[in-house]
Amino acid sequence: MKAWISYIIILFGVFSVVDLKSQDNEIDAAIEVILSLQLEDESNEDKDLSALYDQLELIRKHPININSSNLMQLVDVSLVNYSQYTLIQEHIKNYGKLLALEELMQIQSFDASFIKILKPFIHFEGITEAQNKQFTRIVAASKSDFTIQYQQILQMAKAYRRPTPVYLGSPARIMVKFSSKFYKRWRIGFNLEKDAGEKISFSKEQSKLGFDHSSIHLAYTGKGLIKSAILGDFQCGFGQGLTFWRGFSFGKSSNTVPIRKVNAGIRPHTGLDEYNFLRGFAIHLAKNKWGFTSFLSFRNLDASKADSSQASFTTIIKNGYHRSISELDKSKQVKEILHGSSLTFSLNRLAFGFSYALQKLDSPIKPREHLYTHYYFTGNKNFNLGFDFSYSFKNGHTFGELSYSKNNTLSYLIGAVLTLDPAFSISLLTRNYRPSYQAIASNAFAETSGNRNEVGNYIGIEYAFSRRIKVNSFVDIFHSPWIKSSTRSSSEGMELLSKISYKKSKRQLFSISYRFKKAQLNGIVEKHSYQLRLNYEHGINSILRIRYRLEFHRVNFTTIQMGYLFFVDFILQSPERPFSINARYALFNTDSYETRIYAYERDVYFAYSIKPYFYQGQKIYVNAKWRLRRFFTFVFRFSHLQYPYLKNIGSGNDLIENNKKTEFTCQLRIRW
Amino acid sequence: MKVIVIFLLLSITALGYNQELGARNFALGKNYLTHSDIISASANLSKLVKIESFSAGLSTKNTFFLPEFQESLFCIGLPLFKGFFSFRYAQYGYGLYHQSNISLNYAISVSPSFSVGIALLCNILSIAEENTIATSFYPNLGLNYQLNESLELGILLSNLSLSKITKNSTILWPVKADLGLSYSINPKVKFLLIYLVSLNEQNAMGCGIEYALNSTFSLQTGVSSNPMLFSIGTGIKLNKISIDLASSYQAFLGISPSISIRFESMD
Repeated sequence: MKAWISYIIILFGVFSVVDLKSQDNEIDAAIEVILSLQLEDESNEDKDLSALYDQLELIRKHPININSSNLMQLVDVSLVNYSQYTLIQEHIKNYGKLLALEELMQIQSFDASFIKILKPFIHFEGITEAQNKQFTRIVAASKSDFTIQYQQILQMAKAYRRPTPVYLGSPARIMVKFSSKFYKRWRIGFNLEKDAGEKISFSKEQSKLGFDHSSIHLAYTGKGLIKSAILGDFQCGFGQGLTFWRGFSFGKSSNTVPIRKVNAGIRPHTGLDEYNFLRGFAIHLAKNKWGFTSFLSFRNLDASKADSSQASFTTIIKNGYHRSISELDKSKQVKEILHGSSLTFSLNRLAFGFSYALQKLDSPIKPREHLYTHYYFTGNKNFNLGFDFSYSFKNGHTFGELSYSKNNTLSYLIGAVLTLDPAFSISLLTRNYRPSYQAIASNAFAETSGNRNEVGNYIGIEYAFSRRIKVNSFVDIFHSPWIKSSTRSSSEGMELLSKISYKKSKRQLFSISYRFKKAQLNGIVEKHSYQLRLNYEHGINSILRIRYRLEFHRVNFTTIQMGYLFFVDFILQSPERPFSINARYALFNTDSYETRIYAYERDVYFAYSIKPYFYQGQKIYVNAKWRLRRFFTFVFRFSHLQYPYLKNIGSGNDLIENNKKTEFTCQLRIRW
Repeated sequence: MKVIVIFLLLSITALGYNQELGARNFALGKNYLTHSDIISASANLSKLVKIESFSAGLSTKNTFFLPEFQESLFCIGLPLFKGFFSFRYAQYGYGLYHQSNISLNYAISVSPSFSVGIALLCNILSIAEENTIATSFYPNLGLNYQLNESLELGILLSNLSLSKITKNSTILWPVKADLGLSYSINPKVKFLLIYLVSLNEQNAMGCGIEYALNSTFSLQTGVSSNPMLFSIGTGIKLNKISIDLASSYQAFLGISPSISIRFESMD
């Protein structure tokens, strides 16, 4: 009886306070660490990071045993890099299983502040206290999660003007998201979304019924032969992403050494990206050292045709907008059947895999005739074959992938990461993506998207002068043998990044980074871009943190253009309190859009973003989260952007005849 | 040529007028963010919290010895509501162009090493030729952080509401962020650096060094850009009264003397 009473008391305590208040802050902190290492530039501008949040949340609810190979899941979400993973494995091999957080501190590159971020996502087996915490967390973790969001820009864009609005729907963006876990191993979820300008239709006369975008998945995670299976919408990636990768991933980053992609396999599509996913069925089987992944996807893709009378289409449209009649006309124009499989084998330090992907379209694709599209895929059937490998040795690992496309073209990448000294690591990567390589969906390490027409060499180093001072640097030299849309001949380029981080204490972090990029445009003209960033962050006390950034951008092209961005962030959050607030004041002045400066912005749940700042203006935003009891979380975001010297903001249908842009977002999240 | 330069400087000075700094800050290359000085009450907002007693100050400056460039200010402040409250009045101009600046400032310590200040400014601009008297308001925000015993960071965000000088004008009061750093090399020598990024002015910077000869006398020197000015100054502290004298030198236009007197009720 006493045991029952104790159990109820524990449960009551758990349900009321322990875990969920801090859960959001911990995930936010982890995402911030992940994003702070990514390049805040156009390459990450439109990425849907909501899937990252979902993955972290899942791990947070079911922390990973640091002594198991499941730790790779943290590598997968970029919270732990591959070098850190191998250092942990090496430590376990030499000294046995890790037993406490303090032991983790003995490993190079794990300092106290990083361990604090990592702590909610890991546990140590064999430690009673940790097990207790783990138990607490699992019991307290919600099984179902429902979110509804309303977002709107207050100033009306031109396309909403009556009497003849171009956009058929209201200017509100509405999102509904649900996920639930049941019978321990099953998970179901759906997302509904309408972008600003899209219509929620209740009749089938219009091509879209209900929300413009809807997504559903049913996923199973097992411990036997079937490791995972998904019915509905999912993402999938094989090897290094050269043969096939449709889903979320990061590219080059200021974390310069870990450049190896981890075989993503299959995962439910929980984000709001309207293109980057597959729809159908996928399964991942594993037995002993063998793994097998296979999927079958049926989707209707948006596409545009050069001429409505033609059966072929020119481009697949990936932005997911269906706001106007012309955009709706391009909706679901092509049926895509996609099938792919991967067979992997792991033997101690060696792992390799064979993969393939087949694509069939019901109408042929025929890109517009330009010199730069000369090697683009035409037709309605395509396939890619690939072989990937990785091999770990004492102080490093090597990896690579060789891919073949239907038009008899090979492309490859090969790389190595070496830890020459506990304080010094180096990574090398060479790639040769031929102009005629035609990938169905690839996302391998590259300067440009598409993984074609690029030959390059990358060197990244990381040197820790001490636990406090670290230098990261990379040089990437690339060459395009064939012309690109922005060039009239073959071209070459180079990117260099150097970053010095100084962690004065747990609460103070200073970094300075310099980035130089050279690109050849129109044959002989070179565009040089220089960026200098100073970043300083300090924790005032246990609940208030302030971050300052000053960044300059200079572009030498036909003229010299300059720009700067200054912002100060206030982050007020505490695990003990049910609310958190963060705000930013940004002042920016750039000569043109060319000298724009990107910066990461905090947002509501599932909406982390990297935004460009350009022209002369200031921006203020405030995010407030308030957790009411156990179940409800209210989130409010207000942002105000003002350009004092402009009369209009935006262009085309999205033109706002005002120099202010005010946006608010309300979100209600219910977890039970 | 001289007239053109004078008017260019006039316009720059006019817009940046709310930054009338006092002799000490002026001598230090316009570094005013990281030391407490009642004279520049609306500029070094957050640092004012370090003043622990009733304080008042008077300052005047004559740029290039021209009567048109006469500036003067008065300020007063006292600890209030766990922070420091101050009032500042400054005026500038001559018969045809006159500008007054009134600000109410409040600074408070968030933690022993971090303080925040907010100011509400009222600018009254009178231009005789256009028969215009325009009043505008805007807030400023200041932050100050003591990183350690010798290093300090200060930030001032000006004109957060993007106020214009007159209702129908397209010219804004300076919208800018001033970033200041000070480093005490030893108890007697302090190095100061300021960098200014602005929406409607050129970015500028200044640096200065202060050397305390003893508890009574100090020497300052500095250089600031946009326009490039070299400045020197000296400070004398006599019990509760401090007197600062400074002058800048511009190669073409000559010198600009400035004097400030401060009173602090507690030594």
